[in-house]
Amino acid sequence: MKIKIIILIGLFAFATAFTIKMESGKYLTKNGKMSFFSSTGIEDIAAENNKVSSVLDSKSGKMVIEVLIKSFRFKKALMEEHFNENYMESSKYPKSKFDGKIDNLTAINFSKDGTYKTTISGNLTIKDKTNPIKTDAIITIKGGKLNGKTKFKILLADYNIVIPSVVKDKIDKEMEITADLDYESMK
Amino acid sequence: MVKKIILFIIIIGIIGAIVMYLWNKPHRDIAAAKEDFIISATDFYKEYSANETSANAKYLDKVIAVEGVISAIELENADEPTVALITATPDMTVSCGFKKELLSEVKKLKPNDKIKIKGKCDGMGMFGVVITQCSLIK
Repeated sequence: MKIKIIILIGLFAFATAFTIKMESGKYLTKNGKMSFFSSTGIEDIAAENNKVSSVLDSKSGKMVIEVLIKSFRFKKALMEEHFNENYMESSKYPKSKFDGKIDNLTAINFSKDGTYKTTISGNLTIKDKTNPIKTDAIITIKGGKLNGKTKFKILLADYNIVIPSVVKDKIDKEMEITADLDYESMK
Repeated sequence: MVKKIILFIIIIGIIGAIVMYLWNKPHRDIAAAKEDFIISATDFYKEYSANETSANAKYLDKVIAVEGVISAIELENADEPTVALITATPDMTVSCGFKKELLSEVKKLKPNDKIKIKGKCDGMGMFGVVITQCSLIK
């Protein structure tokens, strides 16, 4: 009898360990969407990037987002050129990175469909500058997939983005960044 | 005097035209541009993973014709249908982003198809090398 129980417990432990190993709890996206917007006296500055990559670990709440600067598309070619060459120096600093975590992880049930408001915090690196940021985010779980949305503002000067004095009064000192990331469960 | 005024108007007109042209100048047409490099997806990723900085110096913003085998067609972002090409490293690909106007062409492709794609090199992300503004080379 005792042996049977021990075997059963052993089998149960083995099955549990196996299940945990099967479900990594990680989500990823390779084609996430990120855009930014800034109003100016001349024309609004807006661009979109559809190749944002990210990994989110639902067990630890840790997340990393990487953005290639050269994947941002503008309506105007000239604006895209200025953005890459003058403001972002994208040949020197080709990518930006967010390295952070979901703050209230316990409030999110990743195995149940639902929408959760949360905050995410971490370090944002643009060019050669890294600053801590904290922003509101909405996480939606649906059919095993996850969508994350956030919108926040950064101060250009915090990231060494220098606005030429000629257009200084015409360009907003802040930039609004929006992210809309559709994650899939990692196998 | 009249001549001077006419000349002045013409000069202003020319300057205006140049400014308008620069302001509205068209995007680089990657599909029509001649490729700077022809490379296999495997070699392209290998070069990037060996030394990202030197690969960036060589390939960033350049028009690349990449040859490879499709690992996946990714359509979850409707604004940029993507074709991922196999490399020698598992989970790492050369990710090729197409304009949404080319969705119907991308939809005709299947995993394991051999293919040649032209695009602009944007660098290396978390899952491999990324090229965008892609078109199929037939």
